[in-house]
Amino acid sequence: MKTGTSSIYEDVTERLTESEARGPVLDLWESVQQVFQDSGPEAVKSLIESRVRSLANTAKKDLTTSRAVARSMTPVKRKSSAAPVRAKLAKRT
Amino acid sequence: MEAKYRLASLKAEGFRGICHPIDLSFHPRATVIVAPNGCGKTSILGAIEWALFGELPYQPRENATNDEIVNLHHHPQEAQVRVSLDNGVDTFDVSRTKRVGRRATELAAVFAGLRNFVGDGASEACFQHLGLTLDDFYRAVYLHQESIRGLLLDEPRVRNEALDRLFGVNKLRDILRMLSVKPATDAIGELQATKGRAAAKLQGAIGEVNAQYERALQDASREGLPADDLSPTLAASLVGDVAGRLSSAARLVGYPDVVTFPTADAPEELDRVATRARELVRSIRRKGTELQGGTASATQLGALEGSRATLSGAQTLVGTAGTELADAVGRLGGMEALSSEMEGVHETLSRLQREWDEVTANQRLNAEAISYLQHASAATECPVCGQPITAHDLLARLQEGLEDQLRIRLQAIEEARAAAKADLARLETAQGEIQRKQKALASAQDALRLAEGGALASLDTSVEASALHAALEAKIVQVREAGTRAAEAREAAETHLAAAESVIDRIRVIVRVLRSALERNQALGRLGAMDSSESTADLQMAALGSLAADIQTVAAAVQTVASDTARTALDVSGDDYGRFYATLCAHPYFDRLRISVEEQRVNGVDRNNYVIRTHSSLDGEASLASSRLSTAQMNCVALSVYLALATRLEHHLGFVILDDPSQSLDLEHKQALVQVLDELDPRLQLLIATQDLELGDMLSRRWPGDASTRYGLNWSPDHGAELVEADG
Repeated sequence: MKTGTSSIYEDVTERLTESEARGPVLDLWESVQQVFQDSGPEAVKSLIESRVRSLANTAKKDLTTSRAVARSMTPVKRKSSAAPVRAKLAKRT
Repeated sequence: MEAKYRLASLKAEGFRGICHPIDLSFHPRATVIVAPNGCGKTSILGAIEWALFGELPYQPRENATNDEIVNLHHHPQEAQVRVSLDNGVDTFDVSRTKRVGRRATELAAVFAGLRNFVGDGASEACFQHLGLTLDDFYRAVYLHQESIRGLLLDEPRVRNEALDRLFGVNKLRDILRMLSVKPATDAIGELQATKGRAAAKLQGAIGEVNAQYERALQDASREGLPADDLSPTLAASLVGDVAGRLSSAARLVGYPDVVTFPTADAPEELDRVATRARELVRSIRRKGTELQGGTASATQLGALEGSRATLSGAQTLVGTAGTELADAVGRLGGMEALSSEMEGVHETLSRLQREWDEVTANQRLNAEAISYLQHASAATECPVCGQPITAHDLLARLQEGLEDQLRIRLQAIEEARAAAKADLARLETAQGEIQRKQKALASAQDALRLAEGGALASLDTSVEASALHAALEAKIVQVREAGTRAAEAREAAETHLAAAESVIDRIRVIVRVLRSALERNQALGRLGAMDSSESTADLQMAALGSLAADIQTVAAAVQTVASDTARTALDVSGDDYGRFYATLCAHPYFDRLRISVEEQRVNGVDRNNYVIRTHSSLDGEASLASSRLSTAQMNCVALSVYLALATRLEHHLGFVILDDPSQSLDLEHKQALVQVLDELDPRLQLLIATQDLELGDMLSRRWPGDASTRYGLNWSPDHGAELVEADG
């Protein structure tokens, strides 16, 4: 029976390849494996959160633009100016 | 079993509990170190581990330089360990040293007494010759007390972690712990909620803009604007109209003719033009107000009229005061005549006073003479005139004649004096009246001078005093006429301004219509873009969904490898740990052990969950081991699994280290442990450290004489651990 924890990473890669995982899945696994070996488990968490944040921020920006459009349209109380002018003129004369 | 490295010897000094040099030779079959707690057993075992791998993971760190490695009393404060390995063909010597205060250790390795390696080269040589990492060392060679402790605990999480470590998949477990899809799903949920809110806000805004558009159209209709031609072109033509009217109004009120507007097409530009036009209306209107006699002209007219009134009043006062003074002088006389007359009166009064003094002196003499005569009646002549007279006659004469004359004289003087005083009083009154009239005249003249000065100032020109009034009148007429002209101009300008305002309102209405239409189109476009699955937000949310799916795929693959690896380990070692358990535990009922791997979902990710069950051969009853077995029996379970795995894992080391394996075991279980150890492959070298004398004796009896080596240890602060007995 094999020893060597490095072999279990290869086993995971092999399994993903066998299951014909998409390229992004293999890339994700490579990144996870790399940061785990370099910096430990918390780095994996940071990696996932950073990717989520990156995608979410782009989406948020887009939604913020929509909200800004809605906000810019929020009707300003534009009073009909014609009537007050006529009233003023009447008062003056 | 291929030729594997076994421990040949260990030399150590200055390492943890070892101060003075110690030198151990290991027996090819079994070496047993028996010593009480705290005498350095674990230091010796740790020395082997540290020499080979440079780390003691279970040892808490004292500081960044790991100075707890070095013995406190060693001189020169340096840990030195040399481990010699032998596989029957070649030797492999590993030496490691470390000084206090230095983080790095110095590693040297010598293969077959010929090839020397140092530093990284030595580390690489160690990995190649040992064939395993430090993690694997813990599950394949060194049964550390901490490894057993995890298996003994009831808490499933700790037991699962300990077994994962034993099966070499603890790193996968660490990765799985962090491969959570929750951040992605949370972010998707949050984005969907945000998107919903944004869409609702847009819908609401569109509703408002529609209503606003309708209101703007109604206003346009009221303003008489053509509903089908509310275009920027129409607004631009209205702007031209406004510019013309404002220019006319500006010219009328003398405002600088700067009424120009930039060309405007977009609603915002038109709105700015309308705002600018309205500002101009205000400015021109203000100018018209000023021109009409607003602030400056009204003040001027007021000043002129005030000056005129003041001047007239002052002139009237002077005339009245002069008349009154002339009347008084005519009636009472001039001041000089009055003064002369007053001097005469004063002289009369002086004269009368003198006469009064004289008469009163005579009256006093007369009284004295009468008094004398009344007492001296022998007098024969008049004491005044010396004429012969009798005293009696004289007395009568004095009393009847002179005294009366003197009284009459005094009375006349008194009357004359009263008359003179009355004259004096009359003259003083007249003089006072004239003086008051003179003062009044002087005051009136002062006031007139002031009024003339004020009038000159308001005229702002040099005019003779006599022509002042006429000049004022002329000026007032002039200012009034100017005011009238300005009022007419302002009125005419106001007509233009009112018309301009009306047109500005129309422009504003057109702006509102155009802007509402534009905003509505923008919002509808944005809403359409949001509803589209091609929107950036939707694409990112889809990407997040893909990321979550990818994380799940990776987690599933990691977990599959983790569970497969654990199952393989259990399958491979299943017969052994079952046999070891049966021997070690010797349970009268639960005589069989079975460990299965299940999957447990934590935070959306599956992980290995080990179920350790004991079975009875008698009736097939099964139960969870931790709920049925004692701590000692669970220790037997841990030892069984460890020993079964240790004999199955592939690497280049042919020895097993057991640190205090008999924890909680009674006599029978210790005997069983010795039996199990004895039944292991005899080529597997055993290094056992124990504080248990009973176990030590059992092992000595099992491997008597040359079949094993036994060491005892003593420990003192100055010397550290010392070998005190060595049985071969």
